[in-house]
Amino acid sequence: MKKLTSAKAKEVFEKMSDIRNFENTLHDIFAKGEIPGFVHLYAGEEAVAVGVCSHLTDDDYITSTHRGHGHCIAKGCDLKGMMAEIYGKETGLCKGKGGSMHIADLDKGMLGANGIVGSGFPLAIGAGLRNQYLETKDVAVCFFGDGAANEGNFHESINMAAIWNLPVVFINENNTFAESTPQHYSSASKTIAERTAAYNIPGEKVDGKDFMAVYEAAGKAIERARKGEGPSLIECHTYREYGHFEGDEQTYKYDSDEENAFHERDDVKEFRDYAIKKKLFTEKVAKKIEEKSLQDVKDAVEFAKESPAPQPEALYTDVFAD
Amino acid sequence: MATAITMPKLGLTMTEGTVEEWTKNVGDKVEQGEVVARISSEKLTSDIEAPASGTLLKIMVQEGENLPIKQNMAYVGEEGEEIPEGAQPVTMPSAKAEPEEKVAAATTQGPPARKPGERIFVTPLARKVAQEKGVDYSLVTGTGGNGRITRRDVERYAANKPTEPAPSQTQTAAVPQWGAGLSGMRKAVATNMMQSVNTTAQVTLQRKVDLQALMEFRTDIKAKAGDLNDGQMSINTLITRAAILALQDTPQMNSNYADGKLTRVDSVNIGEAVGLAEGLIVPIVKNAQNMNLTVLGRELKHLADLAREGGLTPDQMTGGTFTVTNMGKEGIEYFTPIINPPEIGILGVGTMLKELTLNEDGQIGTKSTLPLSLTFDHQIIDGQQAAQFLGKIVENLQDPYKLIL
Amino acid sequence: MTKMAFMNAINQALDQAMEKDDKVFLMGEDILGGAGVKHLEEKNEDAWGGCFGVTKGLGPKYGKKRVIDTPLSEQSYMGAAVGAAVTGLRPVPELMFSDFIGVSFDSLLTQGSKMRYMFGGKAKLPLTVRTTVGAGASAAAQHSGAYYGIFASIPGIKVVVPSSPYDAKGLLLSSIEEDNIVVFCEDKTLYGVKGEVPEEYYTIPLGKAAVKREGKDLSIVTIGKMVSVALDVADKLSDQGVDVEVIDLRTVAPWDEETVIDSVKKTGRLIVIDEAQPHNNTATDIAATVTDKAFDYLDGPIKRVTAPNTPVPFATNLEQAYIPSADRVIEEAAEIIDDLKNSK
Repeated sequence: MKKLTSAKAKEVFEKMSDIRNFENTLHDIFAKGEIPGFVHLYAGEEAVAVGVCSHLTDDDYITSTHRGHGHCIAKGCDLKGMMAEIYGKETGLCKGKGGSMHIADLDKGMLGANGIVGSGFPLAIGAGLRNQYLETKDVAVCFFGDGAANEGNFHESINMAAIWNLPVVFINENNTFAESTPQHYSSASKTIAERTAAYNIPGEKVDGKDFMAVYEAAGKAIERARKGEGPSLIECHTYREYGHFEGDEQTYKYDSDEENAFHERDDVKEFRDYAIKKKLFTEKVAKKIEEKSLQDVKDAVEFAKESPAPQPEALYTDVFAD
Repeated sequence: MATAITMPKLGLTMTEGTVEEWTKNVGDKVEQGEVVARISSEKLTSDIEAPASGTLLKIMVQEGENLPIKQNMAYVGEEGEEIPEGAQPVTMPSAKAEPEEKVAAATTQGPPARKPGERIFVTPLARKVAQEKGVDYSLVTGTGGNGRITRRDVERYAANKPTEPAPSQTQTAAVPQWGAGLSGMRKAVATNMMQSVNTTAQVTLQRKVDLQALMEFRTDIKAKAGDLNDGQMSINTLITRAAILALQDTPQMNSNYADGKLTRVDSVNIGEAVGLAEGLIVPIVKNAQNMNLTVLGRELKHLADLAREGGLTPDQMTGGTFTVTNMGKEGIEYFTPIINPPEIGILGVGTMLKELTLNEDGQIGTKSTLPLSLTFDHQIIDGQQAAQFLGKIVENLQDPYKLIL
Repeated sequence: MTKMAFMNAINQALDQAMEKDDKVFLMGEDILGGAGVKHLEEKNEDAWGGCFGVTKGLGPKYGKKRVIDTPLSEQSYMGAAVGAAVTGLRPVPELMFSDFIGVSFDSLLTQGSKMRYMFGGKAKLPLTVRTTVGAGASAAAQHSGAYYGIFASIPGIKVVVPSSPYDAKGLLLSSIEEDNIVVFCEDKTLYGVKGEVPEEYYTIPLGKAAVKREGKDLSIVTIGKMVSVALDVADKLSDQGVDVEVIDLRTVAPWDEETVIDSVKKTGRLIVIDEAQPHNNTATDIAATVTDKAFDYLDGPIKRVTAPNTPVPFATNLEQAYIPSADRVIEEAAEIIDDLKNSK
C-alpha cells in the first residue's frame, strides 16, 4: 500500500473539512427551517468515508446509506450540486428529485445515498458482479451502519460476495447507535467484524476516529479486492456528532465513561494534528484549507438558494428510460 | 290476504292516472264498493271503489302523484295483516327474466310501467343516443340488467316510432315531453294538442253561411211543433246535423289517422267540444248518423251536462270521427280550430252576424250569416275535397229541410 | 414457423438475447441446477435448467458466468441484479414464483423502480425479472399467486403477461431490450401449451394490446391464461347471437388504454377477466379508467370477473372454482350479457 503523501494528506484534510463544514452548516440551516425533509448528518465520521474513498477512483463504485453526505463528498461529488439537491432545486445532482437521502452521482461511481437500511448490500454485490463480469480491476465498496448489520441482506450479500469471490469491500460504520438503539443491545455478536468468520472472509475492527487506522485497513482490503482475492469487511468504530436525524434530542447518549470518552474525540482535529506533526502539511496550509472549505460550503448554500425550483413538468419525467 | 286497489284502465288510451284525492285514510274501515279515492285521467275524473271490505292498510301513491294503470295504489285487508311481499307499485323487471320476453316487451311501444318519481336507470350510452335521436328515454322500456335502458332499447324505440320528429342535425337538445309539468285534464289537453300539431298537416278553410232559410225553418218548425225542450232546434244541433249529413256524403272525411294507419269509419261519431274551467273536453255522440234532430239534440245536451259535472265515462270521450267546436258565444267569427287526433277534421262555428242587404228594388235590408272554419288534415284530404265538404255543410244549412230527412 | 411449447419459446428468446448482447446474463435459483457438482461440470451439464426447466441448456451453452445459480437469497440476488443493471449489465434474474416477491421486494420497490427518478434521470435499469404466476398447478397458496398487479402498481416497473408461445418470445425479447425494469410473468400452466413460433429473433412492442377476436356487442379485456377463457366465452356467446371482442392486454403496465377504450366505444360493454384477487388490481384499474375516460360510451356496468378474495386453495375442486372459467364469466356478467342474446 502506498504511503500517505503530502499531497494526498492535503486532499484528505480538504475532504474531511468539507464534510464537517457541510454538515455543521446544514445543522444550522435546518434549524432555521430553510430545507425540507429529513436530514441525517455525517459529522464525526469523516475519517471513515475519507479514509476509504481516498483509495478509490471514479470507476469504483460505492453504495451508501441514509447518512450519505460524507460518502458523496469523499467520492468527489460537487458541493454545490449536493447542496442544491438538499434544497430541492433544479440544479441539484438529481434535479431536486432525490433529496438528502437519495443523492447520487453515477459519473463519480456513487450509487446513491439510500433511505432503506441494508439495501445497499445487494447493490454493491451487483456492482461487484459487473466488475467481475466485465473483467475490470474496479471494486465496489458498501458502506453500512451497525443497524444494517442486522438486516437479512447483510448475510445474504456477504455470503454471495464470498461464494463468487466478488471485488466488494464492506465498510461498517459502527457509530454506536442504530437510530436510538445501541449496538451492544441489538447485536448478539460483540463486534460486527467477527461475523465474517461465518462467511470465511477477512474481518477487522479498527478505530474509526483514527483516520490512519481506517486508511490503512481500507487500503489493504481494496487492494485485495482489486487483485481478485475476494471480499472483506472492516468495522470502523466511530461516533455520530449529531442525532440520528436533525431534531433528535439524543437522550439515549452518554451512557458510559467509555462512550463519553469516544464522544469527546474529533477525528478531523486528530488528523489535522497528526498531519502537522508528521509534516504532511503546515499549520498555515491547514488554516488555508479550512478557510477555503468554509467559503466553498458558503458558496454552495448561496448557489442552492439562488437556484430555481424544478419546472412543474419534471414531476412526470425520468420514470422510464425511453 | 290483503286485496290490492289498482289504477284502473278507463278507456283504450289511458296509460296512467293521477290520484286526486283519497277519501279514506289508512286505518279507516271500508265497505266493498265504497268510494276510497278519486282519480283523474286524461279527460275524466273517476271514483275508485274498495274492491273488498276491511281496513285501508296502506296507501302507496299520494295525492297528486301519477301511477301507471294496473299498478297497485293501495291495499285493503284485515287490520294488522301483512302487505304481500313485493307489493310495490311497480315490480322491477328481474335481471334473471327471460331475455326473449324482455325483447318482446321492448318492441311494444307502450310507455314503461314506472312508479311515480321512480328513478329511471339508463346507461350513459343510451342517454347519449337518446339525446342524439331526440328520444325521450322516459318513454323507453329498459331490458338491461336492473331494468336499465340500453342503447339497443333506445334504438328499437326510435326505429318503431315513425311519427317521432326526425333527428335534427343542428339541434341536439332532447325534445321536451308533451304535457311535462302538467297533470290531469290539462296534461291530456296539452298532449293531445301537441300531438295534433306535430303529426298532422292542418289547413283551415273559411266560409260564410246565409242563415236566412235556416232562421225561417226554425220559426216554421217551432210554430208547428210547439214546445221543443230537447235542443233540437238550437243552432248548434242544426249545424251538427248538417255536418253529419255532409260526413255521410264525404266518407273519406269520416276517418281516423294514427300511428301510420288510416281507418275509414262507417258510423259518424261526432264530438262536441265543451269548454270547462279545467280544460277542453269533447264528448262523443256515437252513431249520430242514425239520429234525428230530436235524438241528436237530446244527446248533445245530455253529454254536455255530463261533461260539466265530470261524469263522462271514458268511452263517451273516445272514438270520435269529427268534431264541432263553437266559439260563437265568445263573439269569435273565424278561427283555426285544431284537429282532435286521430280525427282528420274539425268544424269551427263562429258567432252569428247581421249583414246589410240590398234587394232587387234597391231597398236596404238585413240578413243573418254564420262564419264557419273547417280545419282538415292535408295528409289525408286535399283542399278541393275539403272545400266541397264544407260546401255541403253550407248547402245543408241553406236548404234546411234536408236536415230532417 | 415451428410449433413450439410456451416454455421453449421463452428458452429460445433467452438464448437469442444472450447471443445478441453479451451483457445479458441470467441469475436465479437452480436456473442451472447442480452448480458446483463436479460430475455435472465435467460433462458440462445442467441438472434442472430452472425448477420448470425453462432455462435448460443455456448454462452449458453460455457457462456459469452468464447463467448464474444464486443461493436461496431472493432479497440479495434481486438487489444484485438491480446493482448490476444500474452499473451497465443487462441481467435477467428469475424469481421462481411471484409469491416470493415477499422476500425480495425491496430491491424492486424502493431501489430499482425509483432510481432513475431519484437520480434525476441519470440511471438506466435494463433489467428483466422473469417470474411465474397463476393457479391451476395444485401448487397451493404460496406458489400460485397472480401478483402482476402488485408490480404494476409501482411506477417505474413495466409488467408483461404473455398468453401464447408466440407472444412469450416476442415480448420477452422486447423486455430484455428495454432500458427499464420489466417483470415478465409466465403462467406456469401455459408452459406446455404449443403454438407457432418463428425461429428468428423478433420483438412485440410493450404496452400494446392484441385484439384476439373482433366483435361489436361486448368487449372482454384480459391477460395471460385468461385469454383462452375469454375466447371460450366468445365462442359460447356467439352461438347465442352475441358478438364478442377479445382483447389480450399483453402488458399490464403500462396497459393499452387506447385499444381498450376504442373497443368500449364500439361495443359499449366491458368485462375484465383477471385471475388475480378482486381488489386494488389490474381489473379494478381498467374498470376505473374506462369509467373515467369513456363513461358516455358505456351501455352497462363494467363487470370484473376475478379470483375470489382468498388465497389459492389446494384441493383440486376448490382450485378450479377459484380460477375464472367461461361459465363463471357468463354467469357473473349476466347483467350485461343476457339482453344481448338473440337480440338484433
